[in-house]
Amino acid sequence: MSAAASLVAAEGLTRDYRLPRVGVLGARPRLRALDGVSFAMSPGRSFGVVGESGSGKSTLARLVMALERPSGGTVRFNGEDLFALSPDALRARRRFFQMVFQDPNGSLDPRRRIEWIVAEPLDVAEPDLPQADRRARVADMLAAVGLPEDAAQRFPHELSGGQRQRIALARALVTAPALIVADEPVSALDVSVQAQVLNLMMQLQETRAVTYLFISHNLAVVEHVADEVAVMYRGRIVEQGPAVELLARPAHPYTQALVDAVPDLAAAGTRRRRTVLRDGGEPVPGGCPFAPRCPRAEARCRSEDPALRAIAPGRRAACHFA
Amino acid sequence: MTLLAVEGLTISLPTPGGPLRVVRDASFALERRQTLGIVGESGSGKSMTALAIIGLLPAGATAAGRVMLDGEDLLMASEERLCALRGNRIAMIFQEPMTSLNPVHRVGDQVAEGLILHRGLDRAAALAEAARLLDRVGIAQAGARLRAYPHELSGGQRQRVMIALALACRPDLLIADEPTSALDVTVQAQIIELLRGLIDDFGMALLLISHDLAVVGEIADRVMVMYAGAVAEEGPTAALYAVRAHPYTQGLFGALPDRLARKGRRLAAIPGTVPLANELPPGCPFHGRCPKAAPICRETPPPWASHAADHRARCYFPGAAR
Repeated sequence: MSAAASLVAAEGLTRDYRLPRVGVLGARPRLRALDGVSFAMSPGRSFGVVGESGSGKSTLARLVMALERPSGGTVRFNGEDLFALSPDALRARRRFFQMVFQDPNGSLDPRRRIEWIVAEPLDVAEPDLPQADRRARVADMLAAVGLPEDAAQRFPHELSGGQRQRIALARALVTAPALIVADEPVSALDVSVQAQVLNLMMQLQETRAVTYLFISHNLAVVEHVADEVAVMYRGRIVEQGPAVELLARPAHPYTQALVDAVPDLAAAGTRRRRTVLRDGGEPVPGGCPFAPRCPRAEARCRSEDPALRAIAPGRRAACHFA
Repeated sequence: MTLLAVEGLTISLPTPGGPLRVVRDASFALERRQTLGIVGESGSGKSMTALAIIGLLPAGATAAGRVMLDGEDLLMASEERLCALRGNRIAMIFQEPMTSLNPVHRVGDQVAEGLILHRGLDRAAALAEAARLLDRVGIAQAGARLRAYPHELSGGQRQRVMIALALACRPDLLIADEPTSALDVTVQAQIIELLRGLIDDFGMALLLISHDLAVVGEIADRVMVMYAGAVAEEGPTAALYAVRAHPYTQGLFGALPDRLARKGRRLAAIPGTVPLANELPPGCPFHGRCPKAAPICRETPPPWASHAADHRARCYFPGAAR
């Protein structure tokens, strides 16, 4: 896929965080949360990112949303380099990419009515919109996410977790964005409600042609939603490809370990054991970051860092043996 | 003798609007070396059931019925007696070990405390035993880790410390409330494997509470499904997962994203939300969301229907899902 056809194109994204000083006069160590990440997202499709805590997936989300600046690399949105834009120009673009978080309690202002919460993004996006049109827009959005009209006059605490996540979606969609970055959007929800919200997200994608960057630790959820999946480990993409193919035939040993770690419902009650991925020591600098935990690691893996390379049409992996 | 026999357990919480019955007429039994999984969504009463067993219900809550541990009714026991049993014969671990461990004390001292208190060991002997326990739960270099503070450990290691703490006095019954829900999937697999090994080694019984059907199916011998404060179905794991006699159990399984399902297919979400304890309808608590609901379901709570000698569901129209 050419960069011009993609909605989002990240190139060599790196993000370092400074950690607290070690001792009084010590150095401030750097933590590389994101390490040279490149990918492209097709419009109208869902791009899933999986990985464990600390893999860099939420940092990636914040950079794509231009909520913070990368230490290196670029994010292009519709071909424009977001971090080369003036602050005013960036603000004007923000209506086209919105975000939904894991915890709808923390992301919705508890003192505001739903109507205000859903309409707020319009303050910046369309400041001249007449009050009556704003109301109509909110009513449209509530209907689109399957909430009754009278929800507009309620407060977040009067709604259930699933309803609050619908509100978060309504708020994200009110400016008619091209991209929604959803960071663990259903992880805090009960299974039955999770299914409602996933169905709603898929339906909204069909009716509004929205593109999702869908971040989750739950492989089954990602496989259900995503067309394309990137697997992250220690700040890097270690494997990427079409969702179904990648999860059915993982090329990277870490992806294989993630897939193997998912308990199998069909084996319930049989005491079948999952393959367990062990913890490992710190990786050797210059070697493969996964080598200390990798069942296939050989001497080469500890001395030579595998590059993320094409292994088949549409598939990439960072493993010497892929 | 049955290790744990719960009969007609009903728990009420005081509210300004009068007592709220958050668990209604729950009965179940658990034998030594067995694992019983309690599955349910938020508001199902699964955690309250556990807290009642260990005598840690919130202030003002009342429990009726019987909770027999080796023939002794814990609901009638004095606080002093419960104190002696807790940590000694019954131990409990929680979802987020960071909030259960004391952040200002070294983990070795926290594990040793129980040994000094319940087993009368002196400090040196208790620390030596603590090191042995930490090693048993899979903490590398356990002797050195005794001096670590909880924040210096990963989430998985903290949960291992919690398990070591719970095991310190070789309890007959371990209650685990969502022990792996905050952990990454590969770490989750490690903890489940650890719990299995401990049941075999120590001969204890495990009461596992979780919203995660897959995790419960992996380790439980029997499963109890709770909905809105009442038991909906109970049976041997393999049979319950295969038969799914109660429509709510069928709904829970249907709502799971299926790895093999075609991308974009809608999930079979259960419509609506769990009724609040103060808004429980008469009749079956699930009737408002149930595809099989008939007039009788709205009027009279259903009786138990047996699917097999040890497998029953509380439904007028139980049946196999497939």
